[in-house]
Amino acid sequence: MRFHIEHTTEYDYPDPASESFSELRLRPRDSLRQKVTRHQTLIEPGVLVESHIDYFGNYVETISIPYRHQRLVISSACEVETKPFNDALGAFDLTIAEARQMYQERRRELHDFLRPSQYVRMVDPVREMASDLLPEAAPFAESLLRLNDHLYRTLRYLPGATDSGTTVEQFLLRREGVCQDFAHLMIAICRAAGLPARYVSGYIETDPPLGDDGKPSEALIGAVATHAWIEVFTPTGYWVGLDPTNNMLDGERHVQIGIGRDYADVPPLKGVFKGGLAQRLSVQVRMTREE
Amino acid sequence: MPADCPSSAAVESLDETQLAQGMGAEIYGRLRDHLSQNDSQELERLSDRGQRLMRDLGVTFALYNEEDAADWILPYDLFPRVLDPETWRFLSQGVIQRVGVWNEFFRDIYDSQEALKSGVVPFELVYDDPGYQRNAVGLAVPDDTFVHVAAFDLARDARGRWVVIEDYVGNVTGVTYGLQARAVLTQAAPELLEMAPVCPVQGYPTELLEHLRGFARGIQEPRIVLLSPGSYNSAHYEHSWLARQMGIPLVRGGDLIVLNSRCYLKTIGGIEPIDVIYRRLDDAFIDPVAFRSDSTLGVPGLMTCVRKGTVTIANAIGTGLGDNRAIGALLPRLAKFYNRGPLSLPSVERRLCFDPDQRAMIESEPESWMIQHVSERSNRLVWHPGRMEAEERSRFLRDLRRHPERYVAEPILPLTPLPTASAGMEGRHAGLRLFVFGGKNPRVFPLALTRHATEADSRTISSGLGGGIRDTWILRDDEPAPVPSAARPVYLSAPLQRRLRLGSRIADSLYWMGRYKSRAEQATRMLLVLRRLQIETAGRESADRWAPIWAALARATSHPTQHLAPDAEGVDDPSYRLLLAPDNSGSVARCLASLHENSRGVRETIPPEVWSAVHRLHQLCQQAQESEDPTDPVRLSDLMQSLLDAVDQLDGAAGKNMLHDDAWHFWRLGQNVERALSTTRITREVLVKYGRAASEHAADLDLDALLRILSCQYAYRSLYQARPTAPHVVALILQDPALPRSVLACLEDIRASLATVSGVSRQAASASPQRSVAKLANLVEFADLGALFTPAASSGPGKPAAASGLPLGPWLDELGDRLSELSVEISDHHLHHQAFNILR
Repeated sequence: MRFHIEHTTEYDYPDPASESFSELRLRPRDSLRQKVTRHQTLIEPGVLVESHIDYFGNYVETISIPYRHQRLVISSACEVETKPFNDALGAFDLTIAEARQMYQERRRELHDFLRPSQYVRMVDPVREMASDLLPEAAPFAESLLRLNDHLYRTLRYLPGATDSGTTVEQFLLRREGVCQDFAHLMIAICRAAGLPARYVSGYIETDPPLGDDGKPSEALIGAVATHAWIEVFTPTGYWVGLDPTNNMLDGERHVQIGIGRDYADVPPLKGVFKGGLAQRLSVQVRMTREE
Repeated sequence: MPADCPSSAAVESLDETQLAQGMGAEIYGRLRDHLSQNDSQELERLSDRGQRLMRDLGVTFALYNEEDAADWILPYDLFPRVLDPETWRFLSQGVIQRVGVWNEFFRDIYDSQEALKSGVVPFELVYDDPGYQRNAVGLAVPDDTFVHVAAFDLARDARGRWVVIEDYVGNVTGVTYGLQARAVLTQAAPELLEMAPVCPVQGYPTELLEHLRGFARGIQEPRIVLLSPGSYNSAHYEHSWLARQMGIPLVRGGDLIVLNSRCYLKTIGGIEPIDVIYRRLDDAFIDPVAFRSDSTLGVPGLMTCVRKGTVTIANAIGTGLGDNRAIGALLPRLAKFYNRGPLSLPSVERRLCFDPDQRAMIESEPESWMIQHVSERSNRLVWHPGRMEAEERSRFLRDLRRHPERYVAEPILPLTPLPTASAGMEGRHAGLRLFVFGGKNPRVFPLALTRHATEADSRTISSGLGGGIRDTWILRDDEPAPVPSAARPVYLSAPLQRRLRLGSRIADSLYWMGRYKSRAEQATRMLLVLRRLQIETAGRESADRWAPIWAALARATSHPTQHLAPDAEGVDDPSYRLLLAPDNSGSVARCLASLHENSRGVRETIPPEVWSAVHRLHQLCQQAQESEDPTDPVRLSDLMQSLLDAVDQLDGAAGKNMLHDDAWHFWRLGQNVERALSTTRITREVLVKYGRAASEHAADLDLDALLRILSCQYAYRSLYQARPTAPHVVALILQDPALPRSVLACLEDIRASLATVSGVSRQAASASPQRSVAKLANLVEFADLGALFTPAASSGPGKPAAASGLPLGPWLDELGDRLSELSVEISDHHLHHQAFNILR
């Protein structure tokens, strides 16, 4: 599928901001499953945008606005083509214990995705869930799908229930949260069971175009702005995406921006500025499918 | 090294003078004889002298969690450590080899990670260490140099061999204490230094500067700054001292700004590109966007400059990983792996607790080990199971089993004692630190730091825990040095062309020092004059006669008027509230506290006399606030007089001791802006708002009060020799160029200062503060005062002219506003760089 995505973030500062410096992770990455054919970032006020690739292979842009300003608008526009990934988990006929054995060879490369990280804490309840839901003798592929399903059914998607600093423990107590919380929890459970898992930040097409029969096809849950899901490393050497907020494998309607150990590695925007703390933020994402 | 090492039992009982050989032993003998000649009283006198010099030189170390941290003076001892030339050559080669291995390790880790792939270093050790900076992987550094400056702590092992007990390859501290130890000895007991051919050390800062200059990617006159975490850091003394000795700016994160992958210093002349940053700030804090976002100490975006290679950071980003003691323990293996081994100066036999076999060894006899955190360098994270009660020990060992990756263990080394003059020549355990310059051609400078424990049998030598320092003598002989000990000397025939101008933060602090000083002075003078007026007119005028003037003054000094309302006890005199009341954010005491705080931040750039005058002003208020009855009118009156005297002292100290350079001009700018503003506001409030007849015949009393508040009654009398009239008073206060605090005189002073500091400024003249001040001066100088006292047409004949009807009020309001705008403009152009046009 081909998508045109426009992602606009606007900050209004009642007290002027200055010496603002930000890192943007907004350009979707290129992978086997998706290709970015065009991308452009526009900043208002007009400043130079510089870019580099980070440790995890994500495309990062940086901007610096030293002088006083009361408004900052960041607009990112891109064209992405996604490809289907049929039967991503179908071919595995092995247990979790066997899968873990097969990771041994790549222990060093996978280490970051097996260890706790800033948002992914392996607290006791997480370890318990890992031994219940991903026991060593259970089949690898089936268990992952069951875990995805379990989280989808037992936890509630509720926008605004949590914020970007919510930990796995807090989410487990509240039992409601957003895609980021679902992703962090699922990563924690996978890692606790010895399965390498990483965080994916991206876009999802929530409202698909109307079908031939005039009815919309299935609507998906996703944040108004960006979406988040996870990837698990398979014993045969590739990453497969699971979206616990929608209880599905990632598909053609998912567009990846970047990957990392958790949210802290791929925030769409990270920056500092001087000025009053009060700021008004509005984010708008438009994702349209091009036939 | 001597082949006939003494047995371990013997080493335990020996001190350094007994282990020394040849020339070293001889010099130790002479020192001991000489110092032992003195009786204990003489020795004490000499020691006291050393200690006094430490205080005079201000050799301090801020202890964390201590109340009066800023004033801790390190204990000093006269008896030096002596290193004979042979030992020095051996140790130098050892540390040079070691710094090379560390550099190779960083080069590998931040590139292809062969040491991890091959398992020489377990990858978990690196990947789980917060000092491993993922952001720095794949980034090239100039000359492939990561470790520009390193230090190593040495001690003798049980057989008397030197081993490295601590590697410092990230943020290296202590060199200043080594230098000051020599300075103190030279002054306290110069006769000692005449006993031996000791290598001089005073050239170290220049060597360091030349060394850093070598990493500027070929730039001819590189601009170098020392980036410090600020004045609350325990090593602040060292940072400011080194920066001053090298002649480079001491900066904080906020002084630098990143623009399009280039790092700039904010100076009063605009932003200036920086080529080399000698940083004393840890990786985690250095860039709040790339690393810890809660850090306010760093430079947002600095990593983009590193990535583009536009600035050299020394030591390179990511070297904090070297604090990991487990990696330090593996250095001999790394030396072989990189074909640089074997190490001539080995690491202490450190045990890694995550290795089950090594842990078992520790658990079998825990009392013979000293256990440390694997990477935290805090001297509080050291455990001695041998000194723990049984219960505490088993609790500790449980934690060690649960988190073995957090701990490393070392045998307890002798830290061979040195005779100690301040302890009646008894031995005190001591350690040795050597400093190395890394790079393509690593070398050492003949300088070392010796620290010692101050208590008998104690092994606590850390300066942060009360350890003392002493001189280290590196002896010369005729043999040429095995490695070049000097950098390529740089001689310049003319002063630097690209000299950095005064940093904006320092200018900003001086500007605000000037403003706060003038504000406090003005408020105090007003209070004093009004109190006297009240006393002089008692009986003739009712007490509330002065209430409007009090209120006017409160308003003119931006006080909320509730500070003037009588309080519950019926105290009418607002002096206490305006001077000292803790809940008044605009009190004189607060102004002086702000003056003090601003001075503290630039303490290293102002003369000590100015600092003590500021300190005294602050203390006067503090003492008054803490006194038994701070509201007592007599005391308050005394306080006001003392404050005014102390302000005069400050002015005198500044005028006499400050260089009349850019810094001086910002101090003047602050004073003149504040004065012009307060003169304008006070005049407006007294004459227009509350004067009974704001006409030519304003009440004598009000005009008299105004002249006295602005301390120009004598000027008025000598000029007019008549009763004051409002237009004449206003003419004097606004327009007389000879009256130092007239608005015109202040503006002329501002104009002169701006002309000096803007000398090389790049800003467009169209919007510069210079232009604004010129316009304002014209406005004031040629103002038609007569018209300002002519009532507006609306007030017809027969109707008394309402005070607000005079054009004088709005005119003074506008003048006040434009003076405030001028202050913002000065800030924008020289201090905060918010003027859009100068950054484009």
